[in-house]
Amino acid sequence: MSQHRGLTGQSIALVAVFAAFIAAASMVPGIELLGGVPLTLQTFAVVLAALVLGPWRGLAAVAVYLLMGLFLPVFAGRASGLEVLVGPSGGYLIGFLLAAVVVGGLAQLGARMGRLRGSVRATFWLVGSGLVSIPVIYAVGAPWLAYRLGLPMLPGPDCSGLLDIDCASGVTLGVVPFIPGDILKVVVAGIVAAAIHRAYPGLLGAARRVTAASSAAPSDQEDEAARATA
Amino acid sequence: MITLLGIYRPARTPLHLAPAWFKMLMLLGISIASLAISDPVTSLGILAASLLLLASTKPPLKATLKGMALITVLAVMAAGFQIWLGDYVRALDLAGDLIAISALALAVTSSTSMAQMMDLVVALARPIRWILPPETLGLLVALTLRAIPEAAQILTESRVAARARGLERDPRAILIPSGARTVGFALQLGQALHARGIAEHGRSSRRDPAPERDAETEAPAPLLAEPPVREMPSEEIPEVPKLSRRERRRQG
Repeated sequence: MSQHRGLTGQSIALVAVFAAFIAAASMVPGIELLGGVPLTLQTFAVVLAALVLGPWRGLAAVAVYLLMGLFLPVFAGRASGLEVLVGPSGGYLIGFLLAAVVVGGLAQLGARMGRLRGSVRATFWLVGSGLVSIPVIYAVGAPWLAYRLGLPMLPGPDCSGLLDIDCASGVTLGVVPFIPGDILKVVVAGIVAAAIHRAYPGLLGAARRVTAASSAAPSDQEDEAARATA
Repeated sequence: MITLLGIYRPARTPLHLAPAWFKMLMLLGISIASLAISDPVTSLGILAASLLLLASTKPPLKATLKGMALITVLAVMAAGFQIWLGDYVRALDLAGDLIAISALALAVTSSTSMAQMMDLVVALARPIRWILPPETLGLLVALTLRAIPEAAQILTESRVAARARGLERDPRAILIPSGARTVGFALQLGQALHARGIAEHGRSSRRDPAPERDAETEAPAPLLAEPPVREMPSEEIPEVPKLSRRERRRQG
């Protein structure tokens, strides 16, 4: 019975809509911040999906998004197809899968431990969970990028400046330029996820535990659906 | 605003007629081979073969060039780095591999329709069909396709609303409404699915009938009232009177 938990209409709708949200966020132009720096939303949407849906539904949403990418131009820069997945930057997309499980698991854990009740506590916990995604994504993406482009993983010993060619490496080209933007995106994703959990408690099963303790009702998936919208 | 047209065009080239599993296996095999073999001659051979395969599928020119442009730039940069290091052989090998795998993947994408790819995915998901039955997978993909314009519209509307308040540079003002409306839309969609009994069908057919009845009799009135029609065994009741009428006609 428990293995069919992910199969209710509610979960299917959440997974499908969040896969679509990741796709849409990858396609719409980024938000311009104060300095005119564009903020693309793909990583934001992946982390948000994991924080809102938990590990398995988050993984399913990212997987469906990658599946969509095989036919539709839903990857970053309106790219599509297998060539993105097998290309040098495909490791980041695979890293999204792993990150969804890890981040979603942490968010789920927070919900189980009751860390998502207060607004400030929930924001801190969710931002902290989301930040874990950054090392996970780069741990998969950057070595693959370095391997495919024939770069060393770490910068050479003669590395002195940003424009020095000795510095061309997996870390300096594939990680460092994106870290500030990623931290910003994850923080925003944590704030948004906290607002969503405030608006719809029970998405991660926290409200279910509370109500199940107060009234020993048979907790079915249908009831969870009702509580999520209550 | 957003085109959802991939690179696939229907045609009758050899690659279009080849089965999807064969093309994916070919892509996987050639990718691994070209990455494992660090011989520039083999690399260039695979590159030529991949480009010919790509040309044989008659892909749309503009989209193909756009797809290949980025990887070519990357390959030139990677090769330039190796040449700067003085390793010409590795430069050829790397650039050849990058472009070859990309061209091959593009050939597969441009010759495989979405339906064929979905059939392959369903076949691959067969070992886990107790978690993810094929009809659920199809429903997921169909719902996602439908929800992409919806999600894009939610994002755009939130952005317009934030701009109207003069907050277009505040990510929170755009993204909190977007996220909340997305979840709200998903929950409404889930209720609509539930009301039609769509995703419940496969689940209840695999579940034992006895505990289901117990749960129904023990449970208090559910918050989401289920339509009583759905609970009726729809095959038996309409058929019984029909049979009896026919029998009556035969007898009479």
